Amino acid sequence: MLVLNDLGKTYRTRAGQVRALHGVSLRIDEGQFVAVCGPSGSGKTTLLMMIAAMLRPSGGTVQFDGTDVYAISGPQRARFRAHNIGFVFQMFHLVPYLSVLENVLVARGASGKRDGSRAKDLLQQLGLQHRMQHRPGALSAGEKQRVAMARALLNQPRLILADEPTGNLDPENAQCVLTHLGEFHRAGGTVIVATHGPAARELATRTIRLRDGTVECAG
Amino acid sequence: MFVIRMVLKEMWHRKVNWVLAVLAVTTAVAFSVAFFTAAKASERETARLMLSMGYNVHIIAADADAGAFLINGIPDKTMPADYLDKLATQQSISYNHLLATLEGKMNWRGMDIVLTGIAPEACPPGQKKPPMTFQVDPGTVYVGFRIAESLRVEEGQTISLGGRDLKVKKCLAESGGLDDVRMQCSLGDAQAILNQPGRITGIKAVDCLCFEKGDPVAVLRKEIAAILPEAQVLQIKALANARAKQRQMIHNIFALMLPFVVAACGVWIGVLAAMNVRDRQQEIGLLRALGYDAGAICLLFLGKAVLVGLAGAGVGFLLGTTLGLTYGPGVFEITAKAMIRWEPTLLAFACILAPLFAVVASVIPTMIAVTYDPAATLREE
Repeated sequence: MLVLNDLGKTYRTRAGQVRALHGVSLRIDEGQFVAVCGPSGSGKTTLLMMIAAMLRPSGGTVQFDGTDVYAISGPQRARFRAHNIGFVFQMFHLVPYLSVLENVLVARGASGKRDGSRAKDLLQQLGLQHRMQHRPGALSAGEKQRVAMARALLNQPRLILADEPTGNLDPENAQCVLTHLGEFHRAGGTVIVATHGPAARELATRTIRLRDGTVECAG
Repeated sequence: MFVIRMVLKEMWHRKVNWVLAVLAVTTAVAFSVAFFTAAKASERETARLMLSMGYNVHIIAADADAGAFLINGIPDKTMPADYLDKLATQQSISYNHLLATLEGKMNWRGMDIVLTGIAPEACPPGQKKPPMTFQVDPGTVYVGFRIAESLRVEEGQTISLGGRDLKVKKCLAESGGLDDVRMQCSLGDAQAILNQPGRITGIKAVDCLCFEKGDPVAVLRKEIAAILPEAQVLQIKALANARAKQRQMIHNIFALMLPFVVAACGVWIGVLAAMNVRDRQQEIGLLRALGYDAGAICLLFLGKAVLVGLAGAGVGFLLGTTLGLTYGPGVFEITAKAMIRWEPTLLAFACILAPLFAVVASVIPTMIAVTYDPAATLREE
């Protein structure tokens, strides 16, 4: 499903060039639950952003089903993301002026479908049926991350990319989020989680360890 | 449609930003509307002042002695009355308020008087304006102050003039000029009394060349030469200059201040839009991550700008008009309330130009929003 070939990323800063990732070659098959581990600054988020077709690599290629995602046009990449990838971020990234239901439906923006029934079902499954009309400001951190989970699942993506999804959550809410990621995986979906915690690693079928921008252990 | 819904919800969520942006457009529109309204009132005021000063252009027969006309105030030659029709049917000429007259000296009850016949005032196509002088109905006469006083003429009397009976419509107040020894009747009556059927001695007019950079008289003469080669033009410079200066003053103040106000409001809107974009960096990053393209992001910000412009246009028009109507009468004391009125065409202009203005002011922040790197904004925590 996903082939990363000699992937590298160098950031230019005022202090000089920073090599965030280099020489990363990986193959991730459909249906895997991959935990990407490593200390802060090891390149976990950079790797996820490049897999998501949001951060052009300085070198190497990212192939999704045989297509180099950086060889296609910007609008094609946007459509690719909308149809294939769901995102869960550590900071939730909910739109503050939209209701919980609209925050889930916002994922339909590119595809244009506006049927709210699946969004409501997902919110019900995530225990947020009583919060549908509330704004994110009225939610707890755990509830916000569950809304983000529902948003990631709405378009029935093939791949979910989760960047420290439990980093801001208490153990109970963290378990809830991981449970739903696990359910998505059991249903045949592919999950790549960047994490520090052991809980996601226990759930993962494969662990990739990064250190200083290189793959230390590919599982 | 979802993006439009997002625009509306975002405006409601960030009310202060929205209200301040609307205030900026409102200021620009209100200032423009108030000034246009005032400028229009000023034009009317000038026109009303001109009414008491008289017409500033005289068109007389080409063979008339201009020197004698300037000394006597009466042309010594006549020209065909249909010259008025020729002039009044011309498109795009620099003359308006065309008043054909037939004037002649005569003796009435032992007193030398001037008899003036007046045709109804005519305007060229597309320049229709309220007449600057009173209309004289056939069979009636307006009597100058000296004549009325010396010969004991009173309003309502019927007098005989050159064998024609005319009812005195009004005895005019003292003017201190030739009008005091003038009788004014309809053109037809004057032509019969002076035995000049189908003739006039001149056409009085007002020129529309207040903003002409060169010599206005040259322009007027060139136009007349083409239309009425058998006529000549004399312009009363003092009146023309007074009128032109009055109009230019308003025009110049407006031309000086409006760009500053509009530019300041444009910068104001631009800064607010930039702040809005900055506040929403992560939202933009998220939307790009979810597959929203550059067009949707543009719609998010420029759609807001259009709504800000429309709201500002409506509020600004109401505010500007109210200011004009409230404070205008104090400025324009002669025309006062009757002449200061709301200008509906300005609302249409405001509804078109204000959204355009807000969009232009928001273009740079919107372009910044479109070029945000979603990976960079979503990484910032």
